[in-house]
Parts: sequence; C-alpha cells; structure tokens
Amino acid sequence: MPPDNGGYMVAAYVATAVILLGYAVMLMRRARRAIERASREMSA
Amino acid sequence: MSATAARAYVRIGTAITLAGLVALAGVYVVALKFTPVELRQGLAQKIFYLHVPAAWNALLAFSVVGICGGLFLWLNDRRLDRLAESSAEVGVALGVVMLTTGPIWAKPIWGTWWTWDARLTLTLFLFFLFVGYLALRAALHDPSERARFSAVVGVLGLLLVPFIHLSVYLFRTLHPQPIVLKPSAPSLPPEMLRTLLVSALVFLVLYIGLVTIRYGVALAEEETEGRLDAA
Repeated sequence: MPPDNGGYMVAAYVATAVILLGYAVMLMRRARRAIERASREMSA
Repeated sequence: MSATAARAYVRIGTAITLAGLVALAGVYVVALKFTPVELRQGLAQKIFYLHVPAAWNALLAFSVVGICGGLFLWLNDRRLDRLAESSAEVGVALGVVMLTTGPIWAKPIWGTWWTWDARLTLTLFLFFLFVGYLALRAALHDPSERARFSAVVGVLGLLLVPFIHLSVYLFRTLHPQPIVLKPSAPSLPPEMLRTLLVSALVFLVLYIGLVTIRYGVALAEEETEGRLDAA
C-alpha cells in the first residue's frame, strides 16, 4: 500500500503551474511595453 | 530596425511558449492519470516529473550563460551577451521551480524540507550566483562593461555545473543518484521514463520560447537605451 501523500504532489503541480504561467505572462507584458517604447523612440 | 526584429522575436517566442504551456498541460494529464504510482514513495514520486526536467533545463540555461559569456569575451559579439542575459533570467525562473518542487518532495520522503548536503547546497549556491548575475547587470549602466563583467560571472557559474552533477558521486548525500544521465542504462520502468523524457522535452520547448521572448525584450531595451544615450 503506497503512503498517503497526494497533497504534496498537488502542491508541487500547482506551484509549478503558477511559477511558469506567471513568469510567461510577466515576460509577454514586459515585451509589449519594451517594443512600444522602442517604437516611440524610433518615431520621435 | 531593432524594434521590428524585437517584435519578430517576441512573436515567435510567444508562439513557442504557448505551445509549450499547452504541452505542459498534457504532461500533467499523462503524469497524473496514465503513469503508474510508485509503491514506496506513493503519489509524491510524481513530483519527479516536474522537478527533474526543471533542474535539467535550469542547468542547461546556466551552461548556455557560461558558454555565451566565454564566447563573448573572445568574439565581443553583442548577440552572445543578449542570449546569455536571456538564458540567465529563464534559468532563474526554472531554478525557482526546481527549488520549490524539491523541498515539497523531500518533506514526505526524507521527513524534512531541506538538508545542507552537497548537492542541495551547491544547487542553491548556483541559483544565488545567477540571481547575483542579474543584479549585476541591472546595476551597471555602461553596456560594454555590463557585458564583460557579467560574462566573467557566467563563466564562473558554468564551472559549478559539472560539480553539481557529480556531487552525488563525490560526497555522501541524501539526494538520489542519477537514474537517467549516467553511464549505464536508465534505472526506471519504461512508462515512468517515457513521461520523464516527454516532460523534459516540454520544459526544453518552454525554455526556448521564453528565451526567444526575452531576447526580443533585450533588443527592444537596447534600442531605447541607445537612443536615450544618443539624445
């Protein structure tokens, strides 16, 4: 009979999703802002 | 010109990252639903399908920083510096996954969240070294100085990577021995090995996608920085 430790597994899977999704969204928003700023500088 | 190139990098990187995130959802389903439960460790063993791929790709990312740093010191090519910077940031994000999932696995299996053994301590040290690398880059304003100084730190970080891999052989450690990246055949049942390798591939896709976006950000920020300095 395997030990009952499913809660730890759920915590690890949720934490991984939050970290990766959070970083990806933050990076995409940062990219949009950086490109808008670079475009503004170019047209100025 | 750079803004157009940056936009192209961000667009391609976003497409790869989104594909990677969808594939990661697939890995969750395969790992949780279709991969057998290990009898001794129970469900906590499934953390392995996220922790190990995150660790492999974090070490790959830090190795890329070191290699690009060394090549930059030799060739003085700004593209190498941009790639190193991008890889370092994504490596730190993957390092956060590795250092979060590791203790969550360790608590039910070892009975403690953390232990100061060689493998864990060296990995934490490497992580902080690359956090320092990013802090150093943020602190230096002159682009050529920033690229040279951070390249040296990147090369020093690269020297740690083989030590981390070999630390389980060199020191007495609680951390499990390598089960895939070792001279003999992988010691894992085929279903578990398949899930692990698919997950590693998906993390690699995510790494490539995120680095591509970050490279576009570096290009766009350089463009702005250059114009502001010229003004």
